[in-house]
Amino acid sequence: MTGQTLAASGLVLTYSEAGRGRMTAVNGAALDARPGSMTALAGPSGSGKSTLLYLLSGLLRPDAGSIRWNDTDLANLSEARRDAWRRENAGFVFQNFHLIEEMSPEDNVLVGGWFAQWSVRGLRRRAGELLEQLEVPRERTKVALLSRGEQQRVAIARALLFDPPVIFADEPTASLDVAAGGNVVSVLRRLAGEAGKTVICASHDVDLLDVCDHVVRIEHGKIVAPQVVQKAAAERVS
Amino acid sequence: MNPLPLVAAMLARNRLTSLLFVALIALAVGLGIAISAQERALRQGSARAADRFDLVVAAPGSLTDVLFSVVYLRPSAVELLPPTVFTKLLGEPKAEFVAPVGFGDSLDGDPVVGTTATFAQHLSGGSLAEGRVFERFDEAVLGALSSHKVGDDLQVSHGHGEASPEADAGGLHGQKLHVVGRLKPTGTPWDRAVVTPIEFNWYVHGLGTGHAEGDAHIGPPFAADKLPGVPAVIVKPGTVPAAYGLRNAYRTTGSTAFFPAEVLVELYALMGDVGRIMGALTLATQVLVVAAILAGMLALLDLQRQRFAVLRALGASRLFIFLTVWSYVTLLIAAGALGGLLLGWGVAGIISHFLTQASGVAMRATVGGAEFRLVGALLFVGALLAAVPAILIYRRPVIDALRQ
Repeated sequence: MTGQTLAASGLVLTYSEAGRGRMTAVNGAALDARPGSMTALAGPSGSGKSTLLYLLSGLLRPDAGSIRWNDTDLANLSEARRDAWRRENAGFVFQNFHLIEEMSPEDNVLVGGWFAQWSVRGLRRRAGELLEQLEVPRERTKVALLSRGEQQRVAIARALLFDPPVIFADEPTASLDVAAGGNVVSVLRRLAGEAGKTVICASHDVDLLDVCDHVVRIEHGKIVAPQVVQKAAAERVS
Repeated sequence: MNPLPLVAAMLARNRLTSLLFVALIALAVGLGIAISAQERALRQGSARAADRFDLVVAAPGSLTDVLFSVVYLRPSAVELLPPTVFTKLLGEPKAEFVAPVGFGDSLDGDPVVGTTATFAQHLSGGSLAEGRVFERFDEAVLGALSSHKVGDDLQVSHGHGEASPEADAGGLHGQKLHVVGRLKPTGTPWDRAVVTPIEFNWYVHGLGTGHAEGDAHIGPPFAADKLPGVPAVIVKPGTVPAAYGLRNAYRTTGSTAFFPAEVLVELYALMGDVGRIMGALTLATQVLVVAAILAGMLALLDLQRQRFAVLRALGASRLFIFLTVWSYVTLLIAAGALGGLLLGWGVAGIISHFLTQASGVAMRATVGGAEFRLVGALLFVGALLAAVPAILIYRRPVIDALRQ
């Protein structure tokens, strides 16, 4: 698989907490996420896995360390340029989908189009194809009327609108039942295995961890079991 | 970058709250527009009503009272102009015509006014809408809006309400009038009046006819020794210098002369001061309403901070978030302001209609430059204030909202 690797090293993030002084959220984290791979950030609640995901996606800026994407170090970019990087290179999937309930599934998929363009007419076909591929009903119905599994698949379609090389997913199956969760897991797996995307998930869903190529275990902000390579992950999901 | 689809989604999500905000702004703006438009309608209507009353000569006293009696036919006790002054006026070479006016009677609540045929025609713009002007002592013409018809025979009552025998003591109000014509609309209370020869007015009040006995003609010349006092005389000067000359000549201890516009200007100055205070108060009210609404909006938008955080996570710039919130708030203010403009116009129109009905002075409320400036000022201030919630929202930490 060719493409760019998202490589983080020595990531440190601290924050102030009233009465407790300076706390460390992420302490020296490092990982390489390669194209075509699926990496899980695993750990108990409050371990720092979501924070690490936000660091890798440029939503947070580390106090120390680097996040390299080709010749670019996201850690050194301004907020506006990190926004632009995310817009051009990344898709985001959330635990609670965060769709715009008043809009149709197709319009939800197109939301990212409005950030940089006045008209999204040229993207409608792409949005329709994505919904079709992900087996989401395409009628112009409100997204709130879809099942939770379908809503999460709309969120995945939204993340794929510009065919970004990296997909970040924050607990993508935590709000779903087993069947819907399994469906989402297999979609994410296919994105990595078949579409060659770099998929990074923060999750403690064992079914999801089971299909990942790498599982990075985090406790108290520190990586305790880095880059465990799980063989034949793709085979297990298929 | 196009925030409008997101703005539309916010409108759909907060449909009722948005409607409430728009309604509140519209009410506040509508109040200001109605006051402003109504004040102008009142000024224009009253000024237009006085147009054909070039110069008014009356006994010394309150000019406002005389103006209200003669032009707006409001009953008031004014001193009578001595016959000597009236006689002198009748001989003025600088005057195109001199027309006495006499009041004191009514018909079904509408005023009955005595004057000359020449002034009646002048008031009607030179020709009548229907029929002809009165030529006999017992003929009359109707104002344009009078409910009576040409050909009717009328019997007037003394005073301004129900007639009573006591009130008619010494009078001859049993005299019938035959309607021979109808005046064109004048936009004044004269449109509801029954206009009779001045001789009829004098006669039914037991004051003779102003002519020698047996002389049946109406209008000037009058017999100087038979003339009673009159409440006021309308003079049509031949030229502008003549108008000022006559005004100065009759500002004496025994009489006063004025252009209605002079009195109106003073009234307008007073109204203008009140109008300015009202205008400032309504603008302050509008700004306060907008500020209160912005505070409410901030609370509303704060509930949606997670949505904005998600948009940021998906790659939206801060500018996009700012534009989305700013457009939403500005759109509500603009909708409220424009709604208020229409509402105010409508309210002013309704008030004008009722004032016209009540006073007879034709008023037409219009939305003009002042109202557009008011709305423009509110839109400008609103657009500036809308930046406050927009800035506060886009500055909210993304991660905190995502973790909720």
